Amino acid sequence: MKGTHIGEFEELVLLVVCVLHGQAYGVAIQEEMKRQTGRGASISAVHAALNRLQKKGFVESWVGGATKERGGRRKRFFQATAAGRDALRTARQMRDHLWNLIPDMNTP
Amino acid sequence: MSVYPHSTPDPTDGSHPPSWADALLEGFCASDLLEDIQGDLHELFYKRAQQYGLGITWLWYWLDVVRFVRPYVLKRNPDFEEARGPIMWKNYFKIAHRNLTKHVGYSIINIGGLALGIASCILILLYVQDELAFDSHHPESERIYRIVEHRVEEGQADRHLALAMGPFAPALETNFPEVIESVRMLDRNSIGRFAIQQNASGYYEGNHLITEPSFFRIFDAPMQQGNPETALAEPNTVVLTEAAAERLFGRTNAMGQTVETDRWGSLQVTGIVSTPQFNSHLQYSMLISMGTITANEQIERFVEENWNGGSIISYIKLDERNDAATLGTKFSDFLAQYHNEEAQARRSFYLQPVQDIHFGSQHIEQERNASKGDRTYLFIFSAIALFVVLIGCINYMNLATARAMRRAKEVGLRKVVGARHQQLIGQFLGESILVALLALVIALGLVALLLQPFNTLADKAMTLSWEAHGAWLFSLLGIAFIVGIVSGSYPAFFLARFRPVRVLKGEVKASGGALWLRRGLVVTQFALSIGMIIATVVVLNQLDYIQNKRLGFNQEQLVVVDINSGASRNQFRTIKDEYSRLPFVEHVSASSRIPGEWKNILTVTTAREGQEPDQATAMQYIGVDPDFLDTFEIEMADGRNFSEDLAMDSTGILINETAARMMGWPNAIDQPLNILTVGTGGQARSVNFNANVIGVVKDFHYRSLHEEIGPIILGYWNNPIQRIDYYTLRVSAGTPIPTALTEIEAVYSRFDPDTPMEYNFLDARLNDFYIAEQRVATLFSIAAGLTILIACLGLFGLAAFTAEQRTKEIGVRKVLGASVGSIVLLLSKEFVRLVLAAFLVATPVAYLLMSRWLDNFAYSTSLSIGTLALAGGLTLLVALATVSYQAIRAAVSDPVKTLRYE
Repeated sequence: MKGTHIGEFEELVLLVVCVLHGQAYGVAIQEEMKRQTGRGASISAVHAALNRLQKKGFVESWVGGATKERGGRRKRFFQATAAGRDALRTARQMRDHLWNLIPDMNTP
Repeated sequence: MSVYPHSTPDPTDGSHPPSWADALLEGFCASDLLEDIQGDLHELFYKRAQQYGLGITWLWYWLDVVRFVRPYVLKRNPDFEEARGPIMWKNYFKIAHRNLTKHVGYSIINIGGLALGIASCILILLYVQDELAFDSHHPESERIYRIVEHRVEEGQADRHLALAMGPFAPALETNFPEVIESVRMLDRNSIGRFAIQQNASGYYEGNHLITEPSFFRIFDAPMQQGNPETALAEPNTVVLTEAAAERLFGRTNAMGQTVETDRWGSLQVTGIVSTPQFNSHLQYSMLISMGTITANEQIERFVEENWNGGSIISYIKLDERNDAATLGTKFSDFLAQYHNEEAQARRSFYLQPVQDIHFGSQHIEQERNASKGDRTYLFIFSAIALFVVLIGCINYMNLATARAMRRAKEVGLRKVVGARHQQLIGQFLGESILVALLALVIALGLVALLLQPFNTLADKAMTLSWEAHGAWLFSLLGIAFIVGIVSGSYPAFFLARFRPVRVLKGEVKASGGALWLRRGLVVTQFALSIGMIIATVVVLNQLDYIQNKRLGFNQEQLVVVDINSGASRNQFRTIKDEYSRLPFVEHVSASSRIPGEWKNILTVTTAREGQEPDQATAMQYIGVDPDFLDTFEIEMADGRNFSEDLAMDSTGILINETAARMMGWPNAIDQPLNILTVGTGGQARSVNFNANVIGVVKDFHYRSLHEEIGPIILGYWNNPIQRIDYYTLRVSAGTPIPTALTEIEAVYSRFDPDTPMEYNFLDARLNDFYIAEQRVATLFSIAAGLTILIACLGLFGLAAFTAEQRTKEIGVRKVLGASVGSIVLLLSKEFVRLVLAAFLVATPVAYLLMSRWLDNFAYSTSLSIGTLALAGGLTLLVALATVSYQAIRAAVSDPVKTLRYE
């Protein structure tokens, strides 16, 4: 079915969301990603990915936590859904499966 | 629009993200995504600012914003975004309706005022349009021209005469290809009246035209019966207008019938035309064929061959090139073959477009023009129309704006429940426009109702029709829209900006700007009203002055009977005796002309002893009998009156004080005066009559008060200057008119059984000089009344509103012990000041304008301070009355009730 595959960047974002475990919102996700993977994504890219994930049903979101730096604007927190976790697992399994099929990774 | 306060103090240096970038973001970002996206961006901004400094963070911010331009972020179709369209309209209608009916009084005043203003404006504009469209109904009327002569006279101002030589117009048609039609006419001025004997009675017809078949090819005269080509081709034929046909033949079909006349025998009716339209300068009762009068050889020569005269009314029509200017320059050369040098120097001709005749003929004499219009009056009326509609609109806007404040709570609530800014604007503007349109509809109804009375008043026959006035509808709709928008813009834009919290708490007050606007509007209204009142008072005063001014003679109770035949003239002593035998006749006099003459008073040239003929002075002349002075009650200043017994009196003359002054005679009695010529310029007839002065009369107005009193000679009837032409009878007061007339006519027909009696009441005819002014006076009075009415309506509403706003204040004051009087004073103070300001503004302007108008008259009242004060005082009184009603109502209200209003 279309839309149930997860893109590479999306997978990354989703993983970071799970890492942040309930504290995942735009800026935090961006910073954590940079910290953990060295991957510097723009905030808009992150948001776009989150939007796609939400459309596919892999994350759900809720609003809360306004701060002064945000001018009183609240944050939108994200959390992986069951479907999301499932997608991650499937992707990982698929990759492991392929890795196992390669005879020797050390020789070209 | 963001819901959040915009500035967020940064902990370190008070900087904030670039507001333009934010504005951009808010511009394109969907509202449900905006909050967290913008929040993230701001958070990043402050973090980066601390880490990397302000400069690069700014840039970075911009970059990030731009990179957010992605399809999913963009705002979607507003229709999906919130509840709009027909769903909300039902609610808007309901609220608008409730708003109107909750304060029916205000609504009626407001809408009524506006409707009244628009209706008046429409009526006046109809009038103006009718005036401007004079003579435009002739086919291709822009190509029709009247020939006018410009004549240079010695010692006098140049004259313009709407007459030409008989053969001129046809010669133009023959010799110039650009002239495609020509027509000539004669009327009673050139050829006199004639009598029609119909059944047993007869009467004088004076409104006829004698003309040629080309008349129908030039002018709009739809033929109901008969053939326009041939109707006027034969001699002794006549085409009647429908009105004349009905007058002469009643219900019978007039075609083919005969009209019996005294001068030309029987005329056969060969056609019936529609009665000429009201707004045409050419009015006539019937058209008689030219052949009828040219059967007389002398007249035929005069009309077809005489190049030296000038008594034929002539019109021509040009081809499509319509180049009147070029044609005009060719006249002089063309006429060289017919006019000698002297005539060429004095007489020149030009073309006057037929559509200019109505307004552009003030300087033209001897013309057949049914109604001379004055452009200045047209401007005045248009200005009045503008004023009235302006005041109506101002009123409406003022009151609507004031009342809008009441709806602040409604606005607050709507915002809380989720109305978008645009929705609110749309609601208020829409409501306001709708009400303005409603006023428009009512106005149209008013116009339809008032059109007939207005027609009677303005002496016109205007109608509303789609072709003529359909275009107006668009302009009117446009005006209604503009009024709606402007008056709705205050609540729409101002109220919609409020913070819901403040509004619901009731902390909202009218801003200073709105208050000044309202004040300015009231002042404008009343300034206009005061101006109108001043103008009206001046006009009425002047009219009153004219009608009652001592004319130097007693114009009342005078019946003037025309002398129309030798029979009437020759036995005048006997006739006078018979008249005086009638019990109600106090005096009878015979004269050649009468004071206030509506034909021309004769001009003669005179010379004193020792004066050369070229130093001659022109004077007016009336031939009188010894009873003249008594009949008219003119006073003598010096010398004596004529006497029947003294034979030498036939060379005696009376002159008026002005003449004596002009001749430089401190004692005029027995001074000789030579009357050189009768008439002036080309038509002068040399008489060389040596007269001597036997008396001086006090100056009297022998012409309209528009003109100065000039020098005039009263000569004895028996001298060769001018024959008697009228009998004037002074009838004692209280005599019933019909009986008097019957008896006078009995005497008349005993001596002159052939001609019908023509009579006039002198005072009525004198009034005719001032018809234009009378009409102006009436229209001005009505306009003034209207403007004041509308202004007061507005003031009434405004006063009520202000009083209501201050109910609490008044309640408190009363509790603290203020008297009713002091409260009324308090509430009225402001309005009185405004009216005074209006007075100061209006008075100088009105004074200037009205002084100019009064200059039209050689004799006029003065514009006194009294008049100005009267107008101002009147307005103030009315304004006070209006305001005080509301003020008193508020002042006597029960403080308990008002203070309880929480």
